[in-house]
This record gives sequence, structure tokens and C-alpha cells, in this order.
Amino acid sequence: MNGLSRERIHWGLLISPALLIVMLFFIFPVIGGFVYSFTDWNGLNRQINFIGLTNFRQLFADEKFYLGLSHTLIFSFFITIFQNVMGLILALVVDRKFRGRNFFRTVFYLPAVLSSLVVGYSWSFIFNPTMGALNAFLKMSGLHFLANDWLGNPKLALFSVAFVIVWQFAGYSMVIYLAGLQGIASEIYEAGDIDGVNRWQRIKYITFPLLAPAVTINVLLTLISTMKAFDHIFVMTKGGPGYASEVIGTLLYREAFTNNNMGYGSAMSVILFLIITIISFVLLKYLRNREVSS
Amino acid sequence: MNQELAKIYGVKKISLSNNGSCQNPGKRRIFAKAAFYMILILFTAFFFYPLYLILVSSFKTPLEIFGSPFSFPHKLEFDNYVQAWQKMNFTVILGNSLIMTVCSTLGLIFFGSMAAYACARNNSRFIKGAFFLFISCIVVPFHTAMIPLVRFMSQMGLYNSYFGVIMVYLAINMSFTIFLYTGFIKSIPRELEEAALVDGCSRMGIFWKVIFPLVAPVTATVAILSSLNIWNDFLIPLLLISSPARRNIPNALFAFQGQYNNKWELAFASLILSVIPIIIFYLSLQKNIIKGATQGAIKG
Repeated sequence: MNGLSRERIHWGLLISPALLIVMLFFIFPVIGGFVYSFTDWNGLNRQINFIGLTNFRQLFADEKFYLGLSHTLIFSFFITIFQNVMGLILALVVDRKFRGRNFFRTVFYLPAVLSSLVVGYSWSFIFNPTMGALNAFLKMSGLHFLANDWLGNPKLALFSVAFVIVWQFAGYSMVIYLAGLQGIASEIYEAGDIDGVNRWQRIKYITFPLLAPAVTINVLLTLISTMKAFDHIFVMTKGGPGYASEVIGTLLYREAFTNNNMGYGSAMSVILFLIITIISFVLLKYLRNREVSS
Repeated sequence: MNQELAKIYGVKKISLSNNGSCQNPGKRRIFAKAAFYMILILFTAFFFYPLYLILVSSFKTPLEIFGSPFSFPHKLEFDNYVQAWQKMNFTVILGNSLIMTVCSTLGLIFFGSMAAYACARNNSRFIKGAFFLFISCIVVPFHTAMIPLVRFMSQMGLYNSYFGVIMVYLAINMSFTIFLYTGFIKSIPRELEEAALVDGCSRMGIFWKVIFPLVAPVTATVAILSSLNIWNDFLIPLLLISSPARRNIPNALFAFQGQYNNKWELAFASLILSVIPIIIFYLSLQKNIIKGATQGAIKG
């Protein structure tokens, strides 16, 4: 065998296992998702018919879908803001030099390594209206009027779950901001000190602008992951009460695997795909521009 | 004097007595320090107290849980754990989680680094195309593949099998793994490989002998990120595993909570039981885990 063809075979052998696996178990089903979105597949009938855009037309007339979509956007927005503010504050706190700061970093990051199931269930017990710790605490400290049915009140359920996600992943945002903070060269701060900037000016004119790349990454990551949220809601409220905390992720699951509307569910997943792609591109462009100009 | 006062009266007293008289830099420093530690303690309580509460309650009798939710248990009820362990069939479930996580992580490391080597060093149109395909997959949400996947897996006879679940984990984490490895391999100078080529080493040989040892830092990042993700994953086994004996920890927990949600003492014990492995993993590798999470996010 000549050397050149052996070289080509080796390159092929190097790439083929990964390529085959990704094609077969990801790309193929993704294409399937697009194809099925144009069918009436319901998981029971053997015959699957192409019905054109009917699913999409039905989707845009579906009140539940609009509800799920608006909940997803509110939910994502809420978490992105609070998780990033919290993460940034935590990062600024543990970026200072003091004894035991590694211990505090470890504690703040701890919830992020736990499974969302454990976190979801733990908070469900704490939120329990009659026997939960949160209401018990409020009653003990004389704040009766604040006690609530945190997951059963349609006005609150979505935000209670959002709060839990912020609690779990604030430490994750912290870690990314921390890397950004540590990437700022100390010479820049020293130059600022020579120019006589005070502590607030230091944060405003040095830290924040130089932290812009970390903000970009953090906002993108939180937005994309919360658009796909499923576990926490599935575990804590199941989208309820009624449809009060239903988001696209749980609606998709409910349509496809509980109501067996696979075609309809696929149409929904295509829309989710489009939304996530558009948001990531627009946001990436916007944030990148801001990074350059600031 | 002031430092002694700070020690004796604690944080609040000092902040009051300091009102308006902050000219003394020593006083000011103490005040700032006290405020700083107050914030730290508040944050720590915020993140740790909920977990502590579950931990403490898991050792109580039902009567104690409802009667005195915040107190320390009278007597440690280890029986809660014995029951939760048996009812969850925890020995088997722990094994399932280990099999799925270890096999998927090893697959990602080997197949991912191999493919990344080709992507970083070979400019043929085929491999360029493959790399583009991998990168595009990073932005596609799993939800788009989810519904057809369940059907394909049962048609291929991979429903309810470890192998099927592992393949899906490989597929959805592969693109990002290749992305991480490719960036790193591109930064390795080619001279090393050229020397080995002259010595008559094959491409495959070069990869295993020269490249694979050099990419160890990325391997560590991939190992940490993917093992955490896969260990904690709930959705894929929910879709692809039906028999209770093959569930991973999150799915067994889901079933258990559904069944025993009125027995809080068992529910709490099962929660703590399921986090023990990951806490041990986290505490023993915490610096690497935090570093890995950062690298994964920044490269993404």
C-alpha cells in the first residue's frame, strides 16, 4: 500500500467514529424533527400523512402556545437579569483578597453542580404552603402577610421556579465573571490609582468596560439555557397550576409524549430552534458591537 | 481600643458607635471589614441554608419535621436512609449512573480528540465540511431532535438500553468537545509531528503517541464538564429508559418522589443520598471543576 493512501485512510479513521455518531444520533433526528413538523404523526397511527403547514397554522392560533412562548420569554429575561447581577456581585466579593475566599467560592458554586432534580425537589419542600420552611419562617418572624402558596399561586409559580434557577446558577455566572476580573491586568488599576480615581470610578471606568466579554458570554449562556428550561418546571410545577408556569420546553414534552401529538410537537420544536438561533445571533452581534465601542 | 471593641461588641455595635466619626482610617477599615464579612455571611446562608435544612430534616422523624422544622434532630434517624436506600434500589441505580457517565465520558475523550486532530490538521474538503457540521450542531437545541429520536431508537432496538443512552450522550456532547480540542491542537507546533513522520510514524501513531498526551489539559476539562452534565442529566433517560432497574439517579429520584411525596423523612433522605456522590466528587476536585466550567464557558 502506498504511503499517501494509507495517510488518507488514517485521517478517515480518525474522524469517522465521531462523525457517524453525530450523524446517526443527532443530525438524523434533527432532520426528522423538521420533516415530522409537516405531518400529522400522532405516535399511534401507522400511517403518517404530510399536511403541509397545518401544524404551524394551528400553532399560531393556539392560545397555549402563546402562553408558553410569553412565559418562556419572561422567565428567560427574569433569570438572565437576576442571575447576572447576582453573579457579578458575588464575583466582586470573592475577587478581593481575604482569608478563606476559596471556601466561599466553593460554597457559592456548590448548587450549580447538583442535579436540577435535587434542587427542584428541595425547594418544593421549602415552598410547601402548609408545612414548608419558608412559610414557617415567615410566620415565626411575624411576617404572616408574606406567606404564600409559592408554587400553587398562578401569579407566583413561574417566578418561584425562576428564583430557584437563579439560586442554583448564580455561582456559575460568578465563576465566569471571576475569570473576567482576573484577566484584567493589575497595571491598569495601578495607572488608575496614579490618576487618583476613587473606588466607584475604578469599577465604572476600568472594571465594567473590561468585563464586557464576560458579560457577553454570561448573558448568552443564561438566555439560551433558560429558553430550553425543562427540568425545574417539570419537577416543581409540571407547568401548573393550569398553564400558569408552562414554558415551551414543558409544553413540547406534554404535547409530544402525553398527548401523543408528535407532529404538532415537532412543529413547536422547529419554532424553538428558530427562536434560539435568531436570539443568539442578534444578541451576539449587539453585544460584540458594544464590546468594541466601549 | 477600637479593635478590642470590635471584638467585644461585634459588627452591629461598631457600626452604630462609628456613626459620623469616620475620620480615623483604622476605624473606617474595621467598619468596612465588618460590613464585608456581614455580606459574606448573608450570601453563605442564602446558598447553604436550604441545603442544610434538607440535610438536618433527613435525620428527623415526621413528627419533628412538622413540629420543629428548624431545630436540630433529637436523635439521628439513620433508618430514613436505610429505607430510602432499599426503596430506591440505590446500589443498582448508582451503578447505572456510573456506567452511563464513565462510558460516555471516555467515548467523548477518545472519539472527540481523534476527530479534532483531523479537523485541526487536515484541509481536505471532506474534513472541512465535517468540522462545519460539528460546529453548527452546537447551536441546535436538543429539543428539535428529541421527538423523532425516541422513535428511531426503538426502531433500531436501542430503546431501554445503556448503549442507546450512551450513544445519545456522545452525539449531543461531541460537537462541543471537538470544538474545545480543535482550538487547542491548532496551537501545538507542527514540527513535533513532522519529526515523527520522518521517523516513519503513521498518522494514527502520531495521534496516540504525540498529540494525545499533549492535549491532557483539554481532556481534563472535557472529563469534568461532561461527567457532571451526564451524571446530572434527567431528560434523556426519561425519554429512552423505561425499566426501573436501568434508571440513573435523577430518574430514580423522580420515581421515588412521585411515590413517597407524603413521606417527607424518606423524601429528604433520598435527596441527600442522591447528592452524596456528586458532593464527594466536587469537594475532591473543586478547583479543577471551577476551572473547567470557566474554560468550557469562555471557549463557547
